Amino acid sequence: MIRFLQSFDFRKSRYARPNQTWVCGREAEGAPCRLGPDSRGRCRAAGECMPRRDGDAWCCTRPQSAGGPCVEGPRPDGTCCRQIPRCQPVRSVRAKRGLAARWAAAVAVGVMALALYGSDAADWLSPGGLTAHHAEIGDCATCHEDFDGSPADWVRAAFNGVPDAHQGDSRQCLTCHEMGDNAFDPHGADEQRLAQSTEAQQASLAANVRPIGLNLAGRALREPDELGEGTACASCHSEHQGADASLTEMSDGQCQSCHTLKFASLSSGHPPFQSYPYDRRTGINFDHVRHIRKHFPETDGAEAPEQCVDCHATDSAGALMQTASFEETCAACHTADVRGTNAAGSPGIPAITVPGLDVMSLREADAAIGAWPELSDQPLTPFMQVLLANGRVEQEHMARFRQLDPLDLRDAEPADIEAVEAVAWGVKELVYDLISDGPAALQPSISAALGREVASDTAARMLAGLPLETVRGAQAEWFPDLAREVAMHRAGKEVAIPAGEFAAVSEDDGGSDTEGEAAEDAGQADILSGDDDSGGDLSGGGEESGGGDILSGAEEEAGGDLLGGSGDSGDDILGGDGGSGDDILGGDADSGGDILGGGEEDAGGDLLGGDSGGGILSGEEEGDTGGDLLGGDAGGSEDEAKVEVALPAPDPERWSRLGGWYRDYFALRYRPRGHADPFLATWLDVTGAAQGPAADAVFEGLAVDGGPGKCVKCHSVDETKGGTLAVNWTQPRSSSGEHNFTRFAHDPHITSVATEDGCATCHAFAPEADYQASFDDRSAATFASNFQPIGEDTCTSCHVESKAGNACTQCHDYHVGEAMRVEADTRLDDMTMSAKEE
Amino acid sequence: MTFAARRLRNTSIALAALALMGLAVWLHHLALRDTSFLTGWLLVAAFIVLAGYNMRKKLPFLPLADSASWLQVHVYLGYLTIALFLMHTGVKMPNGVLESVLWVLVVALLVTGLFGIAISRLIPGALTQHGERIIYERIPAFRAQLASEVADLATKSVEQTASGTVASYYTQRLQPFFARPRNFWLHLLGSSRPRQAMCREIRSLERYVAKEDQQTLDEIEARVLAKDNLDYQHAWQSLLKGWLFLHIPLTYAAIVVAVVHVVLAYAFASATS
Repeated sequence: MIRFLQSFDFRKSRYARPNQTWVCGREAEGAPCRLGPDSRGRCRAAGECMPRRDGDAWCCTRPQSAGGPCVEGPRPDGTCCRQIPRCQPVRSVRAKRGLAARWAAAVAVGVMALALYGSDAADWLSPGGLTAHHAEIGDCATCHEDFDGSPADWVRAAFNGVPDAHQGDSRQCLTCHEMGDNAFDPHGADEQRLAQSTEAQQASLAANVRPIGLNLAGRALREPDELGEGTACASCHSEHQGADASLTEMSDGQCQSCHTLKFASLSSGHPPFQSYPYDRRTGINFDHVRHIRKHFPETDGAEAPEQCVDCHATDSAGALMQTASFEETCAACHTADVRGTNAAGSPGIPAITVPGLDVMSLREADAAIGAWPELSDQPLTPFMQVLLANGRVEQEHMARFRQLDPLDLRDAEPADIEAVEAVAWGVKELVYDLISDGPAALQPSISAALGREVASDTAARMLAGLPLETVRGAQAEWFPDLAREVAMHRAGKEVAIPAGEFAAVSEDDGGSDTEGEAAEDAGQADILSGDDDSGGDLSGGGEESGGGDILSGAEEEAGGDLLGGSGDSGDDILGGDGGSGDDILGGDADSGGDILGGGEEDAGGDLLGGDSGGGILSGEEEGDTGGDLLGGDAGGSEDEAKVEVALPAPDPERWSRLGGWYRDYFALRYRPRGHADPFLATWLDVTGAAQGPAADAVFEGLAVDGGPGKCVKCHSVDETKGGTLAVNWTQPRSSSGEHNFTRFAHDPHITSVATEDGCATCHAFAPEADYQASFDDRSAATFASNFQPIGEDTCTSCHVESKAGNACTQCHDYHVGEAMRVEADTRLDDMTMSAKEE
Repeated sequence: MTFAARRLRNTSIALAALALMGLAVWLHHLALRDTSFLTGWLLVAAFIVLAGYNMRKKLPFLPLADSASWLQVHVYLGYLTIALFLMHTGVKMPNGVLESVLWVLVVALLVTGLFGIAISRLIPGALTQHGERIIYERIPAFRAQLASEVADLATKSVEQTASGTVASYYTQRLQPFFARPRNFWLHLLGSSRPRQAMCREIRSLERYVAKEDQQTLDEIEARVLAKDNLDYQHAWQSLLKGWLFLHIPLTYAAIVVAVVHVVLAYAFASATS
């Protein structure tokens, strides 16, 4: 039997007010008073009703719901006769809930205050652990500038808004990560490079399959590059995600968010590869097609490579395909080219020369240059122009000198003579300083000529260990009275050109010399010898340059001497020197069949030859001079001459065939020692990086095709943005630190092509390409590879989402340019303090 | 509008809003924007509207639509808030202490909200099905009334039969039973064992009482059943009101922590775009 209790009859039902904060304390007992407590929780119980006065009587007002008027009625004083005992009101359910909410809020405020102001605020407030790379960063302020302020400052910072990347906390990232000048620009690349890249890609894309999401994002939201606020590091690198979180994970959509060209995937809408990967001229000029088809078959089979791997292997990172060293690949055929063994001209580089001057005209003009070798016909080489910089020769004098023909000064103006004097003394002081202070004396001149400081080690490589004895020997030949002349010149005294210099010298030193008495330091004094350093003239006892003497043993261009032995002389009756031929008595290298040839090696069968064996009057068998019947060293008697064996007198150039310095008449020459010769490489690097006529002249002199060492025959020269020139000595390496937009590693791909066409799977020859034309100019962009470009199809055969993957970051880097480095900012004095404390 | 039509409308609106929010977040993600700011502010806005329902109930005089409409908004926006929260946090527990506290608070808030929706949908029907539905605030009064009636019946039995059987049973079992709500958890578990046990006990007394007391036992049993229904109503209505003791305080606590979270996010967000 169900008993229904509730009635909604107003006479039986009490009016409930659940929204009231306080309820009667007897509510839980089921007997609350009708009035209930007031709003502040005080019991208002007095009587069951508040009697109403009706005339002189008081009437009970208890409602029907509470039982109606009572039988007893109010008391005479008008109070209710049924007094209700007072209670302790309690909160209503709603009020209790409100109280709980307030308590919860208060507890939360307390906990937050502890978190904000407590000593462990950093731990409480950190949004999460850092990645392992940043785990050692303990102080929040290292990355968040505002953290050092108070919570009030944080509130202020929050209301200041988020600054752009250039002003925000991204700057803090750069204290450790060196990102270059364009750190917050897209890709860290300069605007021009991005613009070029964008333009190129836009031009190449015919059908742009733009995904709808990227379309919408582009329309609805400003793209980051439009904001001009820079790209904050945290746009892509989200920290506080825990130790194992990836800082570099990016979706393809995000990659394309900034790109003007948006496409679905590599196989759908990706811009064509164009000339990939041959978009830049190779550093080494190596024509694969020509070598494989022409040169290799002509070589000894053992030297020609048979497979790609004979010359190529990936680097340690497995990324770039490297070429084996010169010694392993090219040396077998090209070493002679480098050393100049097969060169037509002199393989030595005239680094220090005595420029030829019209001494006769200078003498007539009373030029005060002291003694000067009249037979020198050397030009003032670019090297000398560099070495005479830094005040040795004033620029105006040098400029005027360059306009002159120093070998013909008959019509020279006084200013011209002055310029020649300046150059002449510059040369003498250069030689003097070189002897007195060593090669270090030239460092300031090199720095001044190149317009930038040249480090000591660089200068050392540029002078390649020039030996003192070589310089001294040259000085003795060129300027025997150098010390006195320089001293007088520096004292401000004029040093006139000696009248009839060589005649005078002969009179002084060797005028009365007999055939055997005209001994000189480097000469072999054979009466008819025409060796380069030999004096030994019949009547002229001078040193090497006995121009005009009857039997002078002059050097080059002593043309017209009766018995002159000269370099390029020809038709001298007794002339003898390199290159001469058919001289009656000529004797020197390569001369052959001379009657009295006194030359060096290769001369054979000379009647009076003092070199090679077989000469009738030769005192020696093998090509060494000395001790000939008519030849003679100083003081040698006939008997002694017969038993003495003179030292060989080799051709200096041939003697230096393995490289190094040697004196060749009026020049100190340097012959490359081999591949990667530091002298050549350093001069090319330093002068290429410098600007100015002197540097340009040196560079162009060395970089000419077929020049000494033949460096640029293989190593291409790039003109940089700054207008300087750079020789590509080395091939790109993974460790070089350069990051490009596209990344490729050979190793993971080798296995996939090993069973098919091998390297040709990707690298197919393009025999029709004019590869050599790529090196006609110095722009790295000028390139016609003799390999066909790789097309997207080659990649998409594997690189689809279901196979090898096709995410953007699989092949592309975001940050381009120099490698990102992490640098520790440690002061040395801090380290010293630490050491002291310890 | 029928209940089904209203539900269809509200569900459609909620799904459309969810799709729009998802689209906005996706586009922000594609545009290299930090989506946590977008989802964060959407969450703040949602919380303001959700908390506004409670405010609305405290300000009944304002013409701000009726409570039922507010409840509908509250319920469906609550569903959306769950989705927003998952977008904001990435369906994972945060790593930081403060964020974890906020995450726990919001999750608890959402869970209690879902619980509230569930019991609001289920309990009223069960209450009606179980017996007479009693206004929660009136339950003590009816319990007191029933207790008084049973006491009167016991007294009357002693007076009429001079037997103490009913009175003894009243003293030992009925008086404690009617003194306060009983079997709270058993009622929540849906158990009727207490009621059946009491009825069996009353029936078992029949063999020991006089014929006059048979009627008294019937009347007592009727009141025991009524009291059992009161206990049932009390238990479930306490639950209907009690979940708000978690939901609302959690709301306040979450708001406090969320304010700190927003300030910190902006103060130290200058590394983001």
